[in-house]
Amino acid sequence: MQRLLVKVLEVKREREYKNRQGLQFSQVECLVKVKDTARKALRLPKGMKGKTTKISRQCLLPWEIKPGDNLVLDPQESRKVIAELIPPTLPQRIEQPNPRQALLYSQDVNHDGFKENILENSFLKAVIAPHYGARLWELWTKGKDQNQLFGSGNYDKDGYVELGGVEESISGMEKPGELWNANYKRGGSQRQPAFNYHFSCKKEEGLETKKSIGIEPDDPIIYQVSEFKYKGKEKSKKKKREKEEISIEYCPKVFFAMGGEANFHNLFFVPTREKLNKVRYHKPAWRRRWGGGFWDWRKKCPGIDPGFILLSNEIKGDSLAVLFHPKKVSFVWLGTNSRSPRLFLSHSPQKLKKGTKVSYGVLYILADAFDLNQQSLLLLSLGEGSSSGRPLAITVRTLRRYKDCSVTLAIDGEERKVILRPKVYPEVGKVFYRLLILPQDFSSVSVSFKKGRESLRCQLKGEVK
Amino acid sequence: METIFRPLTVGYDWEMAVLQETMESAGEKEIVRLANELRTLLPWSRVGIDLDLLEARLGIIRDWQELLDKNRSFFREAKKLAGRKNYLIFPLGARPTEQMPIGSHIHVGSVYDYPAAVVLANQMTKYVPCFVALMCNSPLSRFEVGEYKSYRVAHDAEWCSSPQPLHHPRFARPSWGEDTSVKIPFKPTIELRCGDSTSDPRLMCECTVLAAGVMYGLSHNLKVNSFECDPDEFFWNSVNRWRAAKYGLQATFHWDGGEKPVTEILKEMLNLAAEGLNLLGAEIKDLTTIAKMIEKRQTQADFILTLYELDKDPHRLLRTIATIFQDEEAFGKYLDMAPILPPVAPMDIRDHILSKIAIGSRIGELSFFSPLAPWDLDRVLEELERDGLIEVQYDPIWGRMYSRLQEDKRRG
Repeated sequence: MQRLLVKVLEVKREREYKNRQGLQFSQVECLVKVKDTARKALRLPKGMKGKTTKISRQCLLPWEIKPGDNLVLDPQESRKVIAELIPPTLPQRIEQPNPRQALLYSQDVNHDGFKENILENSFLKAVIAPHYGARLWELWTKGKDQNQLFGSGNYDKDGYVELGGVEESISGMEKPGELWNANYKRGGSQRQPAFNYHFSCKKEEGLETKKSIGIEPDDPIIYQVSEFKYKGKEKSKKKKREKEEISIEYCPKVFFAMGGEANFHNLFFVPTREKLNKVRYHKPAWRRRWGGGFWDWRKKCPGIDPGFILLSNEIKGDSLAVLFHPKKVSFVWLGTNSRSPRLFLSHSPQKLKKGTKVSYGVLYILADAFDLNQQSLLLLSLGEGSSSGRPLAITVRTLRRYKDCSVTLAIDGEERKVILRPKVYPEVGKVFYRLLILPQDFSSVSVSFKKGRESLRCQLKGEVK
Repeated sequence: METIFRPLTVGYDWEMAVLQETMESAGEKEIVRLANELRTLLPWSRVGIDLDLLEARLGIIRDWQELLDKNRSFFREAKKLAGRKNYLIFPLGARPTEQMPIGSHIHVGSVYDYPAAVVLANQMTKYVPCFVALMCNSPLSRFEVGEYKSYRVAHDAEWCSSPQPLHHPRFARPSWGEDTSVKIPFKPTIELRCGDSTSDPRLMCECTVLAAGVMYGLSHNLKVNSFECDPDEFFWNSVNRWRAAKYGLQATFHWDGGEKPVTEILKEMLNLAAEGLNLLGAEIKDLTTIAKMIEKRQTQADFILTLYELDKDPHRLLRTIATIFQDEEAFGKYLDMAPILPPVAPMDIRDHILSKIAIGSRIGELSFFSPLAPWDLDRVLEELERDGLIEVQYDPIWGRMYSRLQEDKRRG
């Protein structure tokens, strides 16, 4: 993703050769000086500007590279240059390992010269990029070693780069705003184990945001809470009478590729007040201009009363449930024919007076099997096995106001009742949840949830005995 | 013989990117500033902007030499002025990394009779694929590469150069954005929009007079009281347009009932254009770049694809080609040393459409992938369905949805 712009200082021809068509080429070694990133919206690591390095290039003659030329280094070359100047580091532990095995550490995962923050437990590994909007950038399913989020790296107007993961905007869904590549600072402690960040907006003067992304030690769940507080603008004589109020339109954007493939096997399950919709993603022939289809009513789904959307790969079964507060989200927008699959959660516009704040929460749950209806969702998630067995998480999210919730669990045909525990996540609401440890050699596990007229059932296959 | 051009004149609006060192656009504000400075410096020019592109316009041209001179002055002054702020002027069919197709739009005038111009535009449908093949210069687009030599045309320039419907001269109304657009009543010209933005300034001039020559050659004795249309030819013109975008001058067209290499057709087209060229003070032998391209079946896209072999990262490549094309004669030099490319046996249009069908592929999407008009596309889809290769479902929201049948399902 990272590409550097360099200036050529010296060129040394190493060899000259002809190809089969008789065209003449040369291979040169260039001494180059780093000028900047090749996309201004991306960040250059501190101390990189002005550094020199050597690169090798092939040229079609007579257009050999000359001193004074500008070159763009591709991601591999840029990575190599950054590694020369900023040696890669081993993971640096930030928090003491939780006794229940949640790990938090920092590492430059993608060798762009900046450290990402990583949250890890037996179900998932989440990579957060504080320097690009503190976005949840990658979300790996542990047992399958598969990242379920996606970043195409495509360019768009005004310097925007589609970095992917989960991106936030406070300018509605059509504009990226300033948060997508904001440089968040770590700090503050709200919940553990979590990474906490803060950022003072430049364009929206006086607006401060705090963000917390965390996991539970034994859940396939990542939660994200973003808080926006308006402190008011610094008063100047001219603006004395200016209204001390701003408006934000919060919209987290989830760029995903379930099962690692951004193709037509990606499905959106969208339970609206009207019905349960199942929509398939299709890569378009070319990108739509004039708003990218934001106005298309077929992609806008209001009234998501149960407060969840399920994304799934129909072949591999990899699934991601996105949970939110149904009253705060005015509609979801489905990128069913965007360049890659994407889901935007468009929240209702919110006015903030001086000194007031607003919070939004989103929950992500990785799953290997699911069943759902218009009101409820049942998820099964398998974690990474250890000598003591394989963790299985059962999660239920429902619109119905159940006080308690239980399921029937069958492991290799042996049935038992399991009571799920309620848990309330701030700004998202309630889920029922239970962690179990399966024997390593189970062949199948099925879970059924019946209450009143409602009935959900799903099954997972284990290793063949 | 009577013609609709009184007199024959030419002009162009040639779009070009203005790039910073990083290869990002200089931005609309800076491009407006540059256009204004150019307009002051060259009072005869009509330069302007189109979104974040500089649009070179030379005004109304009546003579080949005048076109060459003004074109050269414009390009050099534009580069010089842009260079003061370290910007590069770079015409190219599509930036390998960015949004926005970039075109060379050629205007041929002066024409005042709308119905007659419509008949001529209908006739141009057959020749549009030849211009597409000759001018293809977008083999990379938004990080994609490999399927087309002109992604811009394959993507219909994102609604800015659409395949042309045939219009009845009696019932036609002014429209916008088709490969050949009649600009009357707003401007007394017929505009050819299908060409990718040409990186080579000389080639831009040659294509301009060639378009004028071809239109002049077709402009005699046009029948405005009847509607002439051959459905078969209409189908094959669409297929030829797609083949031209895919293979450039290596394409083979379906032409007058048989398969024929586009380079052979271009030679015939030059003869058709000869009379119009003479009126503009040019001769066929003046079109030296086109002659070399026909001889070697090489296009600007092939030049970029040769460079792509060395720089496979689209952003890295864009920086390299932007530097190379600051040499105005780069493409000419490349043509001198480039090998002769062989004609390519075309892919069956049926296979192309089938390759774009997965599960529940919507007709709306397929129509973007397909070069065919709806009637022809439906016939191909019906054929695929009859052969048991696809099945159709009818969805009240998305319309027809097609799915490919697996081998076992096909066997029943």
